[in-house]
Amino acid sequence: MQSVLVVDDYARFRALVRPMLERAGFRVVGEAEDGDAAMAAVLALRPDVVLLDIQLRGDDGFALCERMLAAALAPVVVLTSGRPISTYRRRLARSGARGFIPKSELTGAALAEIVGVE
Amino acid sequence: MLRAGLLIVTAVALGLLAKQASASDSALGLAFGDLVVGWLFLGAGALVWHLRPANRTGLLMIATGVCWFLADPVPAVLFLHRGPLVHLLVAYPSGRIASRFGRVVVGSAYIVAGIAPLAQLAVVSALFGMVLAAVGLATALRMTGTMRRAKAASNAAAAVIGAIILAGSAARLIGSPIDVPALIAYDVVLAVTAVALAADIVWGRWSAGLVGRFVVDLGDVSWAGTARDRLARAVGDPSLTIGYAVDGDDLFVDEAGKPVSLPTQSLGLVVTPMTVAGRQTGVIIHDPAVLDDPRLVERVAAATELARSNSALQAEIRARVAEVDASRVRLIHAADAQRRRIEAAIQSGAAKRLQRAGQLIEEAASRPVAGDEIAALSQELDAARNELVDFARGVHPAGLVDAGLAAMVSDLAQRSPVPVSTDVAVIRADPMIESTLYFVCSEALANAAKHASATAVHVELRDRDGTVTLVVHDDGAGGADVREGGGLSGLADRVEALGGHLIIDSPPGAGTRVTALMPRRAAAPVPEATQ
Repeated sequence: MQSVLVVDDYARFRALVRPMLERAGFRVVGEAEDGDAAMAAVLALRPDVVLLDIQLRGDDGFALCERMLAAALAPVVVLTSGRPISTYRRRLARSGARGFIPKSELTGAALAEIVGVE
Repeated sequence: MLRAGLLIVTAVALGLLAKQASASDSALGLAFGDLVVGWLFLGAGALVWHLRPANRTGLLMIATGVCWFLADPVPAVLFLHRGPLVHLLVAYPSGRIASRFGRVVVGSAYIVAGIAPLAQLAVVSALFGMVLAAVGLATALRMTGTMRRAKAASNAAAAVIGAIILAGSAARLIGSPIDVPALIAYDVVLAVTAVALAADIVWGRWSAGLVGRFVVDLGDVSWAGTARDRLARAVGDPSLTIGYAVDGDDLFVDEAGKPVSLPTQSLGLVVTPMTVAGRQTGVIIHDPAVLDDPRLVERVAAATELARSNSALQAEIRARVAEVDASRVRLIHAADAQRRRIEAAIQSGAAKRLQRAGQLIEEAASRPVAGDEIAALSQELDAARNELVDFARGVHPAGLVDAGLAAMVSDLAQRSPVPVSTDVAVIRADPMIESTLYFVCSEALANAAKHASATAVHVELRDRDGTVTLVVHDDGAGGADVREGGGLSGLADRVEALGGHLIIDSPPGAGTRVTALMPRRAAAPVPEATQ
């Protein structure tokens, strides 16, 4: 079972996503709502996967993604956003994230498919 | 206090708006929606609390708003608002949970909403939504009339909110992604709920309909309940008590006349006075949340006063009818008794005389008759004739038709063993009135001679503005009582039956004054038996 950290500034979204991921076989070990909290959580919890909202309050999701990937025991980062993929296509290509799921298509199964089941 | 509350609410709202303004735009619409919902619950709740302070609905709306806003800093309590929300809907509009089933539903809602891991499970949410929608629909179907209208807003809200939660949870259960429009729809429904409930409770026409139904119920003769029962049903407080003010005493009685004790503070009941046209007509003892609208209480007071005077009127009518019935019975008995007396008197008097006269005639037929025997025969016949004339007078004095009441009264005065002075005017009235007055005079004079041992009597007969007045005043022993069952009581019934009054003023030792006031025309036909 893989552990997941959910990073999103919208509490309702985090709460709704959690059971969805858990049903898909993930173990949600933490939530964070901004960059600092996210980094702290990554370092403390060592999750396997990070589900990261690109549009975080005051933080750049892509920059945060790089910071996470640079950490030791880096997690798999999957980006998500309310906006469609077309907005981020170039930056996505350059980032080290495993993939992108628009929020409108975000399900536990979709995430599992991207990260691969272990 | 209201102003301070609104200020705080606005400040918090603005602060949150500022925070959300820099949020991810996927959530911007949602963030705005969240803000509006929370702000509406707080604002509407404060308004309702201010206008209906005794009603918990305002507080429950505020609690919902507070829990709603708490979800931002404390994500674990995301679903906590469902607790006070369900409480609000179940207790609406009185603010109190009336049934045990209601308490179970609300208790479960608080538990489910409060335990975060439980609340986040989609299955639990689906169940919660299903139960909420079911409760809303079932309540709407089970209730009738005014109560259904009163709870219409909360039932509709419960049904819709429950359905949305169920739909959302079901979608997640089958693996659909998070649907932002659905979340926005939830926000919209909650916002509308807050506004609709507040508007309904403050301006709802069901409170007017409530009193309307109560008044209609009171007018429905076939409904057997008392005014208290109907008000309790209409308002939804089964323990409600109505106490009616008793004139002159600082006391309240229920509809059966038993004293009603006002409750002490500790029982949690409220005593609401009812006033009609500035006069306190009674009190209503009730649950504080139930009659919290002063206009409603006013109308209820007017309606109960109407009902009370109506039933007082009916009771009076019943009493009068009973009185009239009793009087008629007495008249019939009196007539029967009079017939028996006449019969007995005739048997022992005139009949015997005629028998003796008959015997004498038979003897005279078989032998020569002496002069003194014929004289004796003549005497017996005279005496018998006199007695029969007397009896006839006792039934209906023939002289009245010819000579009139004044002459007959004078005649009575002359024949009285006690000296009688008279002051009689010539009166003409209905035959029944005249004969009744004649009998009153006759009886009063007889009493003066027989019972009162009077030495002088004065009789006055006058016509004053259409009312014939007969006064017989003696200087005897007094103490006469119309209830003795004697001649005067039967006459009292007869006088009253013809629309008159018989007044007996007889202080012991101070003589007796009998006054008969009668109209010149008879008011109602006397039962045939006495004619």
